[in-house]
Amino acid sequence: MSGPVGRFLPPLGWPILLAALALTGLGLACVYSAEMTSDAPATQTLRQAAYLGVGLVSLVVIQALGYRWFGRWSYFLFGVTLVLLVLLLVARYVPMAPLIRARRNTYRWIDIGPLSFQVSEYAKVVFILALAYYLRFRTNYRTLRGLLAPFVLTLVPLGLILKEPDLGTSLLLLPSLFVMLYVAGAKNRHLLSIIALGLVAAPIFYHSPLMNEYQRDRIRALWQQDEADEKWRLNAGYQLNQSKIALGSGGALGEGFEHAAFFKYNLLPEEHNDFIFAVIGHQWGFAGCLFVLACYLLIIACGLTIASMTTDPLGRLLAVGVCVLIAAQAIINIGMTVGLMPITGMTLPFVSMGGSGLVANYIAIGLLIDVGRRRPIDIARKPFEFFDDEE
Amino acid sequence: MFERRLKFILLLPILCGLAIVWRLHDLQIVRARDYTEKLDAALLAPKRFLPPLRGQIRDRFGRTLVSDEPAHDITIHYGALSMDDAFLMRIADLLRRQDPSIAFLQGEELQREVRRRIADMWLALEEITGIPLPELRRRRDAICRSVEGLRRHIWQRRQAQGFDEPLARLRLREEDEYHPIIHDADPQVRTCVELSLGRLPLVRIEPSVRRVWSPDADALCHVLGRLGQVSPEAIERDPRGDDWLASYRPGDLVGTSGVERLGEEMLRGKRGYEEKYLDGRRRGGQPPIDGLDVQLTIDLDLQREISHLLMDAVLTTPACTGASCVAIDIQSREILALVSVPTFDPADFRANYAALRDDSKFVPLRFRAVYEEYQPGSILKPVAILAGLANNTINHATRVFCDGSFMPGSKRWHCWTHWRGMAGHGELTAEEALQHSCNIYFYSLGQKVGASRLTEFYRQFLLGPDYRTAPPRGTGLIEERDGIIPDTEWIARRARREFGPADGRNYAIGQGEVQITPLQAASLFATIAAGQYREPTLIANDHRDRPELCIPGVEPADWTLVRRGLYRCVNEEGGTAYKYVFMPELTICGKTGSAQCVSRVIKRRYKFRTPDGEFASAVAPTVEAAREELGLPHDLRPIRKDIVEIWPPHDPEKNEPPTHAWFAGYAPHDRPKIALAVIIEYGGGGGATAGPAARAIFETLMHSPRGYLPGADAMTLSSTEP
Repeated sequence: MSGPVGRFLPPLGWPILLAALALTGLGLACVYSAEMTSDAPATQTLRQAAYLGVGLVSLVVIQALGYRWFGRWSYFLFGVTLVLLVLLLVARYVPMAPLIRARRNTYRWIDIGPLSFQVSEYAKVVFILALAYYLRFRTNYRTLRGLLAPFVLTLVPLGLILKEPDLGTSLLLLPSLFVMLYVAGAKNRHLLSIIALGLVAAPIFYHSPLMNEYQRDRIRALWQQDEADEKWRLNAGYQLNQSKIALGSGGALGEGFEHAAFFKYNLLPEEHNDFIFAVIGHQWGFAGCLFVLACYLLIIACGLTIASMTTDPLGRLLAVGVCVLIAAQAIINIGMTVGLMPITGMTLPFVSMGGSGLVANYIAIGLLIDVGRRRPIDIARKPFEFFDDEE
Repeated sequence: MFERRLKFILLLPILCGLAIVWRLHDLQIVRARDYTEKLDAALLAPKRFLPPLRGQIRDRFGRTLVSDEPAHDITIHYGALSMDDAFLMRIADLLRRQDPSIAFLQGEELQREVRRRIADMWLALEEITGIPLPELRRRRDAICRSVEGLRRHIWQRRQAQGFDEPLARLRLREEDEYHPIIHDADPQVRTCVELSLGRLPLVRIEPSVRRVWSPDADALCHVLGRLGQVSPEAIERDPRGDDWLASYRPGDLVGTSGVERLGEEMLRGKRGYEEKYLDGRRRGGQPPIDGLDVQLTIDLDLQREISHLLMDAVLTTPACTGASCVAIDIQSREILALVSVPTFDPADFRANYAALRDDSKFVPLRFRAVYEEYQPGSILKPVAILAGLANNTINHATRVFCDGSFMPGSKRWHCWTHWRGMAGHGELTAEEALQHSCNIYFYSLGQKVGASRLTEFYRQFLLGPDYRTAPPRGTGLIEERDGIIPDTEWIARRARREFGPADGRNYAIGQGEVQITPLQAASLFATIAAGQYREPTLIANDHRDRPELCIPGVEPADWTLVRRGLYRCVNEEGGTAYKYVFMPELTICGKTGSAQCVSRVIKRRYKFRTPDGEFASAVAPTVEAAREELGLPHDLRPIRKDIVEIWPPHDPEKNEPPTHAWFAGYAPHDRPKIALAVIIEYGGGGGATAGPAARAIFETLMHSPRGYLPGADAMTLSSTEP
């Protein structure tokens, strides 16, 4: 039974939940600081708080049902998700208002009455569930041909989400797939050769018509990062430049909670979604940023400990998948905010505004906590022991 | 079990986290100060310029002729004028800050929205101001051209300095500024624009100034000149180009003619600026520095009275098309009056422009006093005498016999008496030759001296273009012309021949190719009166260095001789000016002139080839009028021009137009104070037409309370000092 770290830690659910709540609290504080200056009611704050409630309820419900129940239903859920994603694809060609409307020329949301769901946010969780369920007792992915099925399982939703278009979310599926295969015991050389293949294909993809010009611009903008060049500053590098100004001017301890002048004049677009980390950095400085990073590290460390403690293969894969999902999303989002990665539309888990993302993330950690809550079944075969030379 | 793989997985986020922490440390700790400054800059609203008041132009006695009054311009951000993609982004940034409803738009959609708003803005401007869209578009294009021209100029200069950068990458501060599209908007328009377009960060009402002419300033319309938009060349050449507040910007008004241009460096001020944060807090600024006043040497009263006198002469002389007069204070060479009639009302210039331009008979826009080059005729004869004396061709006792004609070769040259049916002058000395203006004396003199030496001597009086001296001559007015004093090179280039003996004869009586302006004529007689040349000046307070120059080869006795001749011309029986100019209370010296000239073309048939390849022609006073009549583009050149009508019509007997009537002189004889030149175009005989006008002007000067001439009420003449 599992790792040396895990045994000495207190029950792991609480730190995860508290860290997540702390992050959501920070996000709410950011929005509230922008809203409190005006006389209008803080609608965005209230709405986000309501979504937090929904997320917490989902989390409790998951504890009651148990992750295995979800595992059993995972293929069905995966199917439903695929149908919804196809529906979104079709909506581009066949008008489906008021159910599906284009927002900024993207088809990502399904509206039911006043509620709207961003399918891809839930699709990420369902994908991990289904993949974990698929991989849990198999061994065939230890052959190159056996890897085909998991890849198909990934590439179908990935392609559909890519067409919405939502490049950021779609790309999140790949690290989850690789890490889950890796943990499940796929051979290193197989994974490494696929990654190598991907690296070779990257420049081809970069120049292929699959990539939009604005996306290429964003990648170029990353290399350029010349703050003295006005053309860069005003075009491709605009968001990044503004984000760096917001972060940098925060200094060590931040400009303070109420200092929202920078955002009041809309100087940073998307400041409560994709660029909320810059707002945190501006208001709470380096210290606030470290705190956010620490929260994520806590969630991931606890998650991986849970994974190592459980002997249930589904539970372990699920826990690893959720950790990778949160880690990858946080790293990519923060990376783009500080100018280490190209800008893709990606939210910061637990912090960014947006109901679907928040609820989906609480569902994800709900599953994670549930894995840790269930007592390991001692008589079960230890997972993923293949009596193989490779580890 | 793949336990180790789990631990290995944990390593990845930790490594990424460390990279992020390293980056955050760099941004938030190491370079925090840089970014705080940038934040400050990002929170700033664009700078607002505060215009300076342009200096006033005052007359000799401090009466204001032109001044600036505060006004308001409607200005538009350059991005909205150029519609350059890179700038639309900037505008989009401005728009987004203001209007949260489009804050989420991005890329092409945002650009389209911005374009739509800019188009709406133009329509609204048309509706509010009543200025038609094509005109607004023309103004917009003019500003864009100016900025692009400036970019090219600067780029070329930088290329010459060895910088190698693409033209498009060269950024100008003008690109982030508001440019005036409607000058001096009235309050009603301003309010409407503010109400309907005030939300848009593209349009701003900027404080500015407008130029106001004093109602008496008509008589000085040519002298004062006009303002116009600064050209890219002027921006590039700007001596204060390094000072970002003082330097010209596209759309600025600068003096383009007259004293407005001459005194530009004094008159222009330095703009101030004001910088505010987005929330309205003031960050800093600098008040504008107003321009300095220019004080003219011209006496407004004198100028107006002379204008009226000359206008009367123009209206009462049948063929006359205009007149000019220059009065110079001999001691200081300050120009007291610089009159050119007809005049126009500078305040209505814009409205009447086409009519003024197309008046090809009276050409009211022409600044005759300094611009028009006339054959001097007999008023150049005193200089010819000096040339003869200086070259030792004649002496004080040289006599020439005039029997009414002169036959150097096969052709007979007549004295002016011939045309009046009078006998010849008989035997004449130099003095008498001047008194009677005898052509025969000067034919003989000119032939002996020769055209080459004669013109070289004329040139010493600083008449005509001098290729050797670079510094500007005369007053420095842009309109001022150099006149024509041919030399061997000029005659070879322009007339494709060499100087011959006939040229010497012609030049000695001020005919042939020789031409001078009225200002030069007045300056010439000031030189004769004082015995020294000094540049005339129009601005009293510019502290320009104007040394007195001696004329080499001319002895004091020579000066005296010529002055005697000029005295006798006016004050002794038989002098050509005696009948018309003589005044018992003032001893005037001077010389009349009746200069042969050519008629003025007042209508031409202009033939064009239109862009479609067809031919079109129209009879019009000016090529612009012809283009307007035919509706042709303003840059199309005519392929053929034929004279249709001239003015004045030729005298049927002599088959030539009436002569220009000159009088040039100075007074009083013993202690010369004022030099004067009067010309009445196509006025006929110099004595009969210009003479009375000159006498009237001398009378005005005498009766002036300023005491220019010792008369009834003498006062001291020291008014230019503040």
